[in-house]
Amino acid sequence: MTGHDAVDDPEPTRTSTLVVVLASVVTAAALVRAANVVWPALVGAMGAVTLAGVVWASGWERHEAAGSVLASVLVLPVGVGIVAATAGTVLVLAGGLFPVPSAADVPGTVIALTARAAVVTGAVAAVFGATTATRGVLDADTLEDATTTAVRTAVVPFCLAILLAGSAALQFLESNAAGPGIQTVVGDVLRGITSLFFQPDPLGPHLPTFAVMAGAALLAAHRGVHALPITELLPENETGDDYRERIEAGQRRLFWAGLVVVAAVPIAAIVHLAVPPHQLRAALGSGLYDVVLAVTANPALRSLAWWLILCGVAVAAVVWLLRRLVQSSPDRIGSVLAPFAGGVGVVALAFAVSDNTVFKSVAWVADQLPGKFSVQFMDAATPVMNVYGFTTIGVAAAAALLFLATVAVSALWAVLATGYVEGRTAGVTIASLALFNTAAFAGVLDVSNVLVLGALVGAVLVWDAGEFGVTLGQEVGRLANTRRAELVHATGTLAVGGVGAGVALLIGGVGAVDASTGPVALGLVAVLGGLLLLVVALR
Amino acid sequence: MSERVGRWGVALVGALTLVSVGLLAAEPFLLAATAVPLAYVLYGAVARVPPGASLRAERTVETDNPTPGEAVDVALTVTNDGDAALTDVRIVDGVPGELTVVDGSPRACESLRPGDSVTVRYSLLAKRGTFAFDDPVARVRPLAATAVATATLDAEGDASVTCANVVSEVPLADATLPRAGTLPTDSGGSGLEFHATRNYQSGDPVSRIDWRRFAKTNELTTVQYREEQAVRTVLVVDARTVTRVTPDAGYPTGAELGAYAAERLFDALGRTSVVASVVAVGLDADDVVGGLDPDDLVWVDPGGDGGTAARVSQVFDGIQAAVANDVSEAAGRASGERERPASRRDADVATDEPPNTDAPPSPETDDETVPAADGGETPHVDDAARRLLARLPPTAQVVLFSPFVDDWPVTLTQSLAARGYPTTVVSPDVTRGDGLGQSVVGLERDLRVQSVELAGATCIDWNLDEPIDIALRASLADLFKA
Repeated sequence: MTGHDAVDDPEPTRTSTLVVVLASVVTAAALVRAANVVWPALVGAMGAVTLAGVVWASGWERHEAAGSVLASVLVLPVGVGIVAATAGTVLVLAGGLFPVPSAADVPGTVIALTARAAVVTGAVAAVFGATTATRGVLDADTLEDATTTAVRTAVVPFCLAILLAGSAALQFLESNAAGPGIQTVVGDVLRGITSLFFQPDPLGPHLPTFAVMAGAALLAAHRGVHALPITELLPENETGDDYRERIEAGQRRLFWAGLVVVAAVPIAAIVHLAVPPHQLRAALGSGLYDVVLAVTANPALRSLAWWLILCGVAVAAVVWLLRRLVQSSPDRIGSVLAPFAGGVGVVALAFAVSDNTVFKSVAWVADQLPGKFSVQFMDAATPVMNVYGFTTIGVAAAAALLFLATVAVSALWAVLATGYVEGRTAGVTIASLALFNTAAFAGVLDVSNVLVLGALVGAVLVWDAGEFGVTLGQEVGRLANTRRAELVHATGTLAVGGVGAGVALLIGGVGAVDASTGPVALGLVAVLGGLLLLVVALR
Repeated sequence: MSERVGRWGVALVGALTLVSVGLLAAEPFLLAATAVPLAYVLYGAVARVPPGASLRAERTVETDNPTPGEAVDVALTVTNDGDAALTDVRIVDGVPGELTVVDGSPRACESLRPGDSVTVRYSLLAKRGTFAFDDPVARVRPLAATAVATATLDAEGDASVTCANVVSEVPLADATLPRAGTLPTDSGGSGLEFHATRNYQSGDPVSRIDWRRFAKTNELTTVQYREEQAVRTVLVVDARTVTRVTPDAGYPTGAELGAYAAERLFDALGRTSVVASVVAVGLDADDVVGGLDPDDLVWVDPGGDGGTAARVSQVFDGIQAAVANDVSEAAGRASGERERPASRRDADVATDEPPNTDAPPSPETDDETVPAADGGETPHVDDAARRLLARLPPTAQVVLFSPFVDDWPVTLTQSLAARGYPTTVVSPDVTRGDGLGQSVVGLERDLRVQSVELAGATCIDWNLDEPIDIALRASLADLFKA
């Protein structure tokens, strides 16, 4: 705070921020109320506020780990809000507006539905913009961090959902419970592959698959043993070096054995394909052939190999992770690991509540859908629920919500990173443009003209007061007394808006713009174009 | 000379949105509603800064003769002298770059009618020296904020703040020095007080021969008086890197506070003709004009070449420059973008070389052990302390200025006590604060202060809420008790 430089760490001034928040919330609330979709809009607004919270918490510098924890906890509600504001709104509106009496009403109803949905999403976006404008937290770096956090939070549920759904699908297909058709064929192929590797036919030798599994097991065991800090943990004594050399030699042998077995796979495959079992028996002699048969066709050995592969990979992964961890600072570890832990928490939540909620949600959606759609939806949803189970669907739904939130955060990041929106005023710009859209779409509905004009003035006021407050915060700071100047400025903006609204009412009132009198409307467009040119010339 | 600001682009985007949605949904009213955003575009296009705008500024420094670390109240009044009302006037006062604003803000934004004025009040934390204000800058915008005119105002009134750090009133009335500047010794010689008699030795002054005794016994004896030696008061300022910490942003560091107190005490002692030396520990060769002594200390004895007062002032300037270098380096490291402007004073004091990036040599703190409180074992002292002890004259009494944020001053005090030097410790408390870390450091400091008192030194714990003179008065009163 010395000299004439800009204020360190500027924040928008309080009065302007208050004006922005009040104008945004009041305008958005009035328009949503006029569109008559209250509940989805409220849930969406909650999601918008949590999205702002995610961005804010990601920007914490002193308590990076805590911010990361908070952000990852808030990612799920963001997804819920997004779904409520978009799909939820459309669903509720569709349930209310359809079915229509005649086919001729469909286009008009679709436009009304679109306009209302646009009003709700616009209002929710305006709430988000106003919330972020309070602290000026939106910038590309913070959003990059928030995106990273959201992606990390989504990783565990996403992988688990794929795993659960995949195994459920495999089980279903292999069980041949599906009717005849492509599903049965796929099931047969899958069963063939799994039995080839895990339950081979005991009548003949299975050299290639055995070689694949044995080679993979040897290599995995080598990776696992190599990763373990055995030599570091051995006690130092006179014979210590001897131990170490022996252990290293053993590791080398494992590695080379694995390589040799893997390299032998093509030869084994050629032998398997080209030499029939009885010729092989004749070539090897019956004693050796029996041994080969017993070893290569033994399911227990294959199961052992499979577990060796799993353990080796798991040990190597855990040791790698631990080695990475001990090299980082606690705060860094916290900020990296917290989102993954948040993802685990989301999975736990999905496991805990999905038995109750999944069916209720599906029933609610079916309830909202109009007429026959409801029955068709239930017909489609029931087998899915039977095959996958509530838990899998719950985890998959949670993963989808996290994915949506990630998409929202990364889209914001893209918008800021490409420079379409200036980071300094990003919050108010988003709020203002969203309100403009909302007002425009509300104008399509049968909302009073005064409300639409008021919303337009509110949208401009949000941007004007927000930009003014940000600039004032940079130049003068929050500590100085700036309230009077800010109120004078906002009053001036409101007065100009009042004049503009009066002109608009006058034009609308005298019917200058009526669809039936085409030339007049054209003239108005010409006047608009002329005004724009005048403005360009004045600048 | 106002410049335009493109501000209403969002209204144009809004107008286009309205036109598109209006055409899409065949809603004529939305076309009419474009009048709202277009009104704003027009409003922004025609707005201008009033041509006859004129502002006048006057600055008053309301605190007279501040002491270092004291808050200085400043008021800047800006008046609208023109004929037009200015709805958006932003003022930033040119605070000296070296001083920190501790209360209020030197900035303001106000709407001013013709003849109206606005007063910006803020407080600066005084530092030793004279600091000039830059001229305040004003920025005027019209109501639509689409034009900006920036101007530097010529401020009337006070243009600088001066903090001299000299003793304004001599606070010695209640701290009478029993033997100003002298210390009685236990050896006989010339003096005032009777000490002993001994046999006359050839060469003794005739005036000291006890003639009465000669008359009685016919033996020549010489009277010896208690020899009095000039007391050397040595002011030791601990300015090592560790001590350059502040309790709060903008406040003086422990090293600076020690230097302030030492400077005032040196001044006060000078008035009472006590012979005082000044030593600074932990400075870098670049920090002080003339560099360091060969043993890496800065030691100023009275009556040296070039005048004691000038050299002492160089030492205190050097401490301030060292701290400023440290702070600017830290700021450079922390922000990496904006270097705090170096003070003019620093520019004079520091040599022409850029501030060195290596930390000044600081004594090792690891190898020190805090000995038992009974002083049974000799404390382990590091090189700086050993060199200091080696240079102390035998009749010195030591005043140590240190914030006690590490064990170095404790071991030094214990070594001084072990060698029989009367020691007074003045310790500015830079550990106040609510943070957990500050509380822990505060507790450690309390323990150090206790162990120093157990070692026999007089300790003055200087609470920073009290003025510097109270601490000094206490130290002066205790200084010559021994």
